[in-house]
Amino acid sequence: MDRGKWLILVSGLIIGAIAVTLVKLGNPPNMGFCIACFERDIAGALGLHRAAVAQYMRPEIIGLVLGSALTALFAGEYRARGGSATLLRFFMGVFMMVGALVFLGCPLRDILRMAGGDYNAVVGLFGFILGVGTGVFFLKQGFDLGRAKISSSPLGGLIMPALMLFFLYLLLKGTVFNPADGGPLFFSQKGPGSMHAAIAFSLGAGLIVGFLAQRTRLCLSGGIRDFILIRDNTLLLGFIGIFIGALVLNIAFGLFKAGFAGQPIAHSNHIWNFLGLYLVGLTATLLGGVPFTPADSVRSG
Amino acid sequence: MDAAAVVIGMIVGAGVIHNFGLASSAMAAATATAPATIGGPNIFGQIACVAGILIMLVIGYTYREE
Repeated sequence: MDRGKWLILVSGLIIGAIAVTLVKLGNPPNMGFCIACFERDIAGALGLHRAAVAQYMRPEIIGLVLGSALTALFAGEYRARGGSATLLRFFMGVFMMVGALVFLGCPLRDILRMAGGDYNAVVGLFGFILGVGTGVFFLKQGFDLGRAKISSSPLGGLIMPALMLFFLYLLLKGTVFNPADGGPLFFSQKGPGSMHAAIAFSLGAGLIVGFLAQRTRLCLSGGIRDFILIRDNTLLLGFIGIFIGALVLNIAFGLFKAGFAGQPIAHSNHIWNFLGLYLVGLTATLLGGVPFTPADSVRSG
Repeated sequence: MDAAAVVIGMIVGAGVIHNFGLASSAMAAATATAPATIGGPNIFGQIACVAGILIMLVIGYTYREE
């Protein structure tokens, strides 16, 4: 293997290990790092939904955006691009979340769940692979959402990092805007939203993962897409690294428990495990990748 | 910035999904008052998921060049 492949494999191992360590430090089981779940918790913290068990301003996401943005800036890869079917992409994001919340996790959590022994996640993986395959079918037919343009000002690309800094400020300061309603920010008193590692650990983990993801272009749907399209396994190695890293630590910490039944924050309704991640895989492939690093906005439009 | 639109869509989507009760429920062990459940989406979540797949297929079909 060449250096790039080793790099992405090691990055995967580190990310898998970080995720399980976060569970050990207080994050919900098999949810050390989950993009969809944590964005859902942020929506809850902002008061966008009323699910009382899913509200927390997850510092992992804040760190992920800031980490990848800073890395892109220092690497001289910062470019603000946009204008490729933006509104359509917004709604594709909405439906990608539908798929993730029907499955109960994003592709990253799918790997972490498999590494925790959750067989239901394997069903989801098959759906995800087939979804990416369907997306590749359209790509081969000439699917294209249109070209993004480089903006005349870099400001647009700074919106997400600035928003995340603001969220971090709110989290640290504990501001409550609407005391009568008890928020925002709203925080779960019970359930997955109430389970979290200390802010410093979560934020640090997010920064590290953001750095690694930006450098390696780690992308879960992209890994399967590249393998189907051009038999390139580079990005897939990231997948494998995450799985092995998380599996080893899960076993070491005694968190590994194999089976379909008794799995945390998961369901055994297999049609919907399959179709949920099928929708995510298809949508992600049409979008050109899972926005694993939300600050993808910074480097790739 | 287009990726940021996706992320904002996901966050807003999560809000809508939970307000509309579209998210799956997790499996639960039997308790004194309720039997064990395998969890999963309710009918509205199932409809949303299938609708999403159909919409993506339409997008995939219509956004081909030439």
